[in-house]
Amino acid sequence: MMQQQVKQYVDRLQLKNYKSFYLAFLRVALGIWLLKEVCINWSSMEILYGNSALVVPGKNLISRLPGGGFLVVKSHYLWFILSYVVIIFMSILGIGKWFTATVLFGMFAVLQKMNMTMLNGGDKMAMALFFYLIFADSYQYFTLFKQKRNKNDNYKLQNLFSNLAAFSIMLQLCLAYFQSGVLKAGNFFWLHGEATYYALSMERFVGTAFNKYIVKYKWIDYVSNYATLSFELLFPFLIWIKKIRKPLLIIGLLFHLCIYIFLMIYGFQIVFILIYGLFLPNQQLLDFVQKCKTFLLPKKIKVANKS
Amino acid sequence: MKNSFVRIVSYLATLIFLLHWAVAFILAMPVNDVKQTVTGYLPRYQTMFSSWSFFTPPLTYHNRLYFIFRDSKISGNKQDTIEVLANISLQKQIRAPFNQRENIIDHLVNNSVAGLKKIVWPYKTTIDSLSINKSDSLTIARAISNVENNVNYKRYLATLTNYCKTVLQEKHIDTIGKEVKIVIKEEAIRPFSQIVDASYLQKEILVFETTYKLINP
Repeated sequence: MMQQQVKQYVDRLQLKNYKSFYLAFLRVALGIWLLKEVCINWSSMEILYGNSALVVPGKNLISRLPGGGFLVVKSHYLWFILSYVVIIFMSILGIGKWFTATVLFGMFAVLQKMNMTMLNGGDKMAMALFFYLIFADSYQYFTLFKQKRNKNDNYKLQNLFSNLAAFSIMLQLCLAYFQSGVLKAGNFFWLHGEATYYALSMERFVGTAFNKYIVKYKWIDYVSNYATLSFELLFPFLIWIKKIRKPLLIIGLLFHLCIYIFLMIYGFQIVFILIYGLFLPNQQLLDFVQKCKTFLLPKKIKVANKS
Repeated sequence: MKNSFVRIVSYLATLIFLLHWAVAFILAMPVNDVKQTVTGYLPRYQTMFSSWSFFTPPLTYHNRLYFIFRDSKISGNKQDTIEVLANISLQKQIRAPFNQRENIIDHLVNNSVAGLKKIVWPYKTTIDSLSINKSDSLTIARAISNVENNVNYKRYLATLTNYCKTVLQEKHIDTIGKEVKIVIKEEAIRPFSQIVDASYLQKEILVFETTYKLINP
């Protein structure tokens, strides 16, 4: 009985790639996000990765490689960054597929290890995403070269791996919120409604001139504190309920937008919001894209339909 | 043959998926025996998949980093002091949202300060848990002597010394023959219960200080 049920689940996972469109979108969007990070960090590359880097890196797997690992990368950091950019472009265009995804994950990990003090939750989440994307078939859309897909046994395996990877990315987001929510629920400041007051008052994170006025109103502190706590604890459970999904995603979007504006934590929010699309059905996204195309290019589509 | 291979790989992949998520969820739970056992076997797993806290606990103070320097050759030893963290935060606020360079400096310096404090005072989590006698220079010197051979301690201190050189260079101050003392203090954020209390006095508590050392030995 149970064996049959497991077989049914596995068969369903092999049937088709349920998130084919958004996985492709995620690959491209994350690639663009990485390019943006390289561009805005360009003037600080020497401080981050060069020989005159401020931070003295710790000992880890890479530093134990022959030739000192980091020393090699540090001496030739510009070449490393340039090849990193090439790999990002290859990933965006879907060239090299799984091989490129693996190399991109490796290079991203090396850059993170070289500067652990720079990392925030977004970088950690991006690391997990790049890991899962190695297993995902995100090459059905947005690729330079289209490939014929034969519905053979390999196709079944590809679908299974891809679906498990997509599900893992969604679970990773739920886990991040849930663990953070559980920790908050056990903390004095979060329990007593005072935590967002301290977070918004921290000089390092004062994103707007309004922060110091906002925190003076205790009711705002209480509302934002308990809203954050409830959102993080409930999101992992409510997101699987179809009726609540869209309002919840909109609330999440606003939540991250507030962190973006008021706490000046930028890249972090983009990575988290990018995952949200995976919770929407593939067909819904494809219909939405079609509607956008019709709106933006009405004539072209009409001509194509006539012909 | 090929069909059975696909079936075996499919079941194996599903099993690995289930195991991965079982471990990730165990590691995400608050401290318990099972979590400790799993962490023992897979020490790196938690860092990669299950360590999310986001402002928990929130900091109740601002860090202050002082570089106090003097000329080693001049008698009388006139001292100059530069506080850097408040200035970094200010620059970050002024240039937001185009403040990536300031953001980088902020992360590099602040995280080194936090790392240093964590090594010297491993059990101190808030400003209130730092009793007054711990702020005493002698107590701090004793705490530092216990960890000064720690690799990470040396690493964080070297990072801050590197930053000190950068700051002096930016201010066109010659580093030759100069000695520097690194001091970290914590400035408490006005407590929530005293948001509108006019009589509240902001205080700074010393948490770390080195002896004078030559910047370029």
